[in-house]
Amino acid sequence: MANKRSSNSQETISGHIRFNALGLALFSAALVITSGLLTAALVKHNQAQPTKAAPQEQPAAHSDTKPKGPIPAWGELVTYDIDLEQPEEYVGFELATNRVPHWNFAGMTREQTRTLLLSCGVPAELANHATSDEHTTNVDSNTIVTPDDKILLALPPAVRSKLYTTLARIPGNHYMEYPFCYPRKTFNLWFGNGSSDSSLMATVRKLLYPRGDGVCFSDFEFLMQQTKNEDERMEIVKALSRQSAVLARVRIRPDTDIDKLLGYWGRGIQVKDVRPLVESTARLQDGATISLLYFLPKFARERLYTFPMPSKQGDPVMDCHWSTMNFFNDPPDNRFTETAFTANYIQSNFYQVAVPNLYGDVILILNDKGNAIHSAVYIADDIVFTKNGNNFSQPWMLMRLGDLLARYTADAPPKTLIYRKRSM
Amino acid sequence: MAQEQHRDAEESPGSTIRFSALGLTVFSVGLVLVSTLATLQLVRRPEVPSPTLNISPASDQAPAKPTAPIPPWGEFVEYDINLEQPDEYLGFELANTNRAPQWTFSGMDRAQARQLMLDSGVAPAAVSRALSDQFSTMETGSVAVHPDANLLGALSPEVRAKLYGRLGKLTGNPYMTCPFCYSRKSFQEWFGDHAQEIPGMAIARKLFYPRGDGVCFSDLEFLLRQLHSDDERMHILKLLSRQSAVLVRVRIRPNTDVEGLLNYWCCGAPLPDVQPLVESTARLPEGATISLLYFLPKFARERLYTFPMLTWQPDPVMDCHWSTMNFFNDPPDDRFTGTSNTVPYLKTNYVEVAQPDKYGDVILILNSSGKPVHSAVHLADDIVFTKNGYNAAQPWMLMHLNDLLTRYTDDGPPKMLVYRKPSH
Repeated sequence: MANKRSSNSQETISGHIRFNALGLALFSAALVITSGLLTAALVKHNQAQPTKAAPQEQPAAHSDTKPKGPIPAWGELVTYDIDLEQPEEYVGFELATNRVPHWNFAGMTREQTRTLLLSCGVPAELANHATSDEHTTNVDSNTIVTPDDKILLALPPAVRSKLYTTLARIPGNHYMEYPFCYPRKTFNLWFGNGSSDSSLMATVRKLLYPRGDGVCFSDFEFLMQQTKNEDERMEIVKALSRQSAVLARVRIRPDTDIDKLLGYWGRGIQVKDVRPLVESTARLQDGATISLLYFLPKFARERLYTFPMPSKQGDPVMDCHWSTMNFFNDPPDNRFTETAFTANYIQSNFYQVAVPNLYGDVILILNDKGNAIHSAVYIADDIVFTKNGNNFSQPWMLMRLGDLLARYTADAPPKTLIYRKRSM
Repeated sequence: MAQEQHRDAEESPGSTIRFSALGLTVFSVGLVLVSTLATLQLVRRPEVPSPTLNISPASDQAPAKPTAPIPPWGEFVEYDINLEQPDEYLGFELANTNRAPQWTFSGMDRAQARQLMLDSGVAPAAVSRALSDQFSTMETGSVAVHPDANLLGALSPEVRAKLYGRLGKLTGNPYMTCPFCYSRKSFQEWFGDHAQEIPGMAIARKLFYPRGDGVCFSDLEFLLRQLHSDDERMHILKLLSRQSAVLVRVRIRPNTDVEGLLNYWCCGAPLPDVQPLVESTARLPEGATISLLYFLPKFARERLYTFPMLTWQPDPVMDCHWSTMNFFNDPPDDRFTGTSNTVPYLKTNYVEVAQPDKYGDVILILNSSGKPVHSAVHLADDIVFTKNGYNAAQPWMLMHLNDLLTRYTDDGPPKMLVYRKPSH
């Protein structure tokens, strides 16, 4: 190449290459410049590549870089997806339900029960076995099946899903109506892929069935029968009770638009209370994050990630609707334990909107009959304040709306209605 | 240079240089290598520590676990912040403080007032002027001096400290009893030579005086009268009313001693409430920080960094003692307003200990005359829960104990008594 490009300044003589001084200088300069440019280009390209080792599981939590897009009205949320287990004190109450597994076919004859089992995909032999005298009793107009391990372990996940979804709509099937749910891939994330399962966890894995984008478990009574002692029961129930929740903070930077931020959160709190804290955080050299708790009204601030005390006779049932409707109340209004009062109150004081996008919007989750089976309060982004279930073993917590909907998904995603308070 | 390096491969007949094929290759490779290395040195990004690593201990990312033993309360992540009063409350303050400056010598005649001023180091001429009929009045057994600019400007910081320290113990001198106080660091930052100049700042600088380890300001009435508009008054008052506070989070790591941590905090929040949250945080791959709010009892969790609503009779006066003694109470016990019930209650139901080192210890601050002037709750490390002053413009907050003691220093250092509830 040197020959061609510098033919006027060099000659080749019998395997040797001859340069004059100018030719050698030009040749050397060309080499130096070309290799320099190539090196610089390569280095620049490598520096522009994102680091593959950057944390991926909790990007929002660890990222300190200001996002490039517009900041939403609620500010920059820093979230951690966590999994909450029931405290041992409450697990103890759950252990008392050491009962025989049963499927309750209310208002059905044995023949209707058999037909229903078959329609859900239960093989004929199993359906016959289940509705045999050995496993079936008829009380009043109800048929109660007490499935044995042969029946329970033989159901394929798809069939179990269909059957349990159907049973969930029939009164008397508590764990089908309120199964242990693990949205997305959380089951494997929390309990592994099965390679190191205990015998109990292996049983659980066999009894899982799909629901929405996750899996559920309903055969709690059967599982309890497989346990050997209290410790084992405590351990497995604690593990099963895990729920997806979210820890959230708000990042305040020196250039955070505080008025905009407080304009969003001011619907729920006294701005005078939180403004000094936000402004003082913004005055820190790099800003900081502050707990979302500071942006919650008294009711929620007091209760978030706590469990209700076991209620006494006459105490209100602190269910989802009571918690949702009292979110902004101080003190709570116990009339919200009455469904009729709550429905009337919503009709009179709220109006329906298409999507939840303002702090305090009420989200009603309906079953396929149009009944409100759950409610929650929209906080920001995809985060809601919720209390799942009416018992005291369920904490008030923050969840992602998608996970909440998965929890209340039967054979199809539930319908939601969104209401916004007129006076806010 | 090429000639020297490749003597074996080249000759220089006249002005030409001759290379063998091997010689030219070696020469070219050498040039490319040198050029590449030189380019790398030039274009390589300077070694700036990455944001993930170059962080203050107070930031979100998990720094390396401290090598020292972890204290029982866990690893704190602290932000020193400065809180400003909300505009709503400053408005009240402005309305109430548009008065002539006054030094009230309660229960004294002119001769006693003269002696007190002379003892404080005020120049005799200035004392005579202050007690002249032009500047002083005798009202119901007390002398009221209305100092003018000359008199106020003539006091050196040391004399002002001594005089105001003594006036602070007499009734009728609210800004001497509860002056605006700053740590030296905060003072430099907010009012020092490099602080932002705003109207009134130059006047204020002449009126600061030392107290303990800090700096105080008491001549608010005089300062406000020198300014021309409410905006200017609001601005300087907002700056003067800043208070040093602390935002605290607790770092939970996968290997955090959860049991030890919960043992320390268990007398605040019920264990079943906080345990699931701490355990789930510890299950995150790198752990995370959670707000100290989660470890506080209901009373404090509900109120931290909020301001009381303005109270009317018969609402309780939400002063420091009410806040301290009700820290663990739900609902609050309103008998704890003021010192008349609080101090005897402490002496009867608590035991005195040498120093605050247990969550919930009550710190009673006595002025240099031995009179209880403040109380606060010890949380952990040097952090206390406090409400400074009885009025609605003071939030419940966390402070460093030293900053709190500075605030309650008069002409001598305050004394601290520590009480512990036997059941804790």
